[in-house]
Amino acid sequence: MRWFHADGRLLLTAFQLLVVLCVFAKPAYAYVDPGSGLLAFQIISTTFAGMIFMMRRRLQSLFHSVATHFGSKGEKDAR
Amino acid sequence: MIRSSSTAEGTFRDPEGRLYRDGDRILREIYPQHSAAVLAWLHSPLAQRWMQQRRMAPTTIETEQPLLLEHERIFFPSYPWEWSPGQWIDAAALTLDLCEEALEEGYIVKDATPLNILFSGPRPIFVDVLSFEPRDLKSPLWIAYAQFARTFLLPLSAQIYLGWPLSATMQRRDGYEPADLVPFLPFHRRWSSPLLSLVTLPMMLQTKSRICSERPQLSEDVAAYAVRRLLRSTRKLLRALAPSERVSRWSHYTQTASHYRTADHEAKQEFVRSTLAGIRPARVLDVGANTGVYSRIAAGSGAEVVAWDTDAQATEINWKTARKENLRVLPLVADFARPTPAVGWRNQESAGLIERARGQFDCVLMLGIMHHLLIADQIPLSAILEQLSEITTRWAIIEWVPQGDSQFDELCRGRQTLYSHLTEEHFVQAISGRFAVRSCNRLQNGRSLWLIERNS
Repeated sequence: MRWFHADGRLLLTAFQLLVVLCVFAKPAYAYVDPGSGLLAFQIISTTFAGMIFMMRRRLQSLFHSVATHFGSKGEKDAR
Repeated sequence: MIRSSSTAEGTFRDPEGRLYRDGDRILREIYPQHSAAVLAWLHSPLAQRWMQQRRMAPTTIETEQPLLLEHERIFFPSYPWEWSPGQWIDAAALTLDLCEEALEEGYIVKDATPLNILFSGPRPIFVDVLSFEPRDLKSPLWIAYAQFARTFLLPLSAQIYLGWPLSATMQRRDGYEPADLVPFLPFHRRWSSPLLSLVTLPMMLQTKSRICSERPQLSEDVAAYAVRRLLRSTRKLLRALAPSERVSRWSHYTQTASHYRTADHEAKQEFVRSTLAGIRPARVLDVGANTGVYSRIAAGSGAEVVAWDTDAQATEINWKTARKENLRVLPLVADFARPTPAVGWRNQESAGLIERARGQFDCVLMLGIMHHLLIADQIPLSAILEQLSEITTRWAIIEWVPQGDSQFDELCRGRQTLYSHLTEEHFVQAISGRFAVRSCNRLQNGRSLWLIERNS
């Protein structure tokens, strides 16, 4: 159930990223043609990159909290 | 996009400035509203380091108000449609390298086309110093990615999977669109790497995409991660497009030439070597260079060498060897008989091959090429010598192939009578109007080598 909850949050994050990418944007001033399909492909790739970034960050914080938890428990046991 | 232009107006697409040629000088005027940003960029440690490493064209500031830059002139200016596949890959890799390094310093490449690059000898050098801008730290996009795909990755894909020659890119200023390739790709190719992400998915998204004028904003760490990841995946695509070694009609000519015995080869090389040691040219053009045996001999004599050959595979081998051995040789896919034309707006954006070569070399090698020009290309001897006298300022070394030579007869294909006037006497007589013979060496196989000097 907790995993389902975590997956749901990840999907929500991805959706939020895509919304941010597509809606809350300012005009580009580059003089090179940014493409249309190639730019759209880049935006979707960026969304995946964002998801991976968020997932890594969460995994890191999870490992950190687990390590902290067991570390402090180990310290208590040692005492 | 910046290229050397001989017109008074110079280049015109870049909103920050224009590049123009003033005699032998390559100058760039920066428009006043962009001067401060360009100065800051040029003074940055990153730009200074790249110029020192000669990965970016060394640039000096002529005047600050108005801002006028002078670029070191790169010999010999070449265009992507004259490069071998390996040179394309090398130029693309340099663009990605600089973009990755720029990211670390808060800059990004805003303009990623092979036209930003020239080759100095066998090494690419980024010449468009205006192609870098401070990165919007919240943008997860590399706006020039699409241009990089259109102008580097898709031409390389078309060359590998469809056999479209890279020289065909002369027709397309901004490269290929995914839609240009799709009709010619088999189904399985479209749905496999690298074309899935370069052609198929962008094509599917193209019709539904209405976001091309927008620039998204994210937190700085996510944005930086996304751009770095995009550059990594682009580099993977580039690696997948690296050329495999192919055999062409001319790529193994030197090893398989049956009309040359080892002794003749050695005598020819010795004549060229000792002649070049005697005349010591500074700049040599090797016409019909094949895989570059004589280009390397010329480079060994201390000359800066440009090597033309019509065969892309032979040029690739020449370039790879020069790159590996760090020789001052620039191999190009170029044809003396059908020179690269001037292209672009009003035929003035990219200079033709002969315009770039005229008066730029003090020695021209024409070894094993004259009979091709005379018979296969059907160019009169007087016209060839006239063209030669425009390109060389002084010397030429020519190999004369007599009638009865297996290569001469093979090219004639039964039309020997038509070319019966092409005797050595005819050759010597034709030379005498424009050149003087300084030395001659006859090989055992009947061919002869001539050092000629242009009449002043």
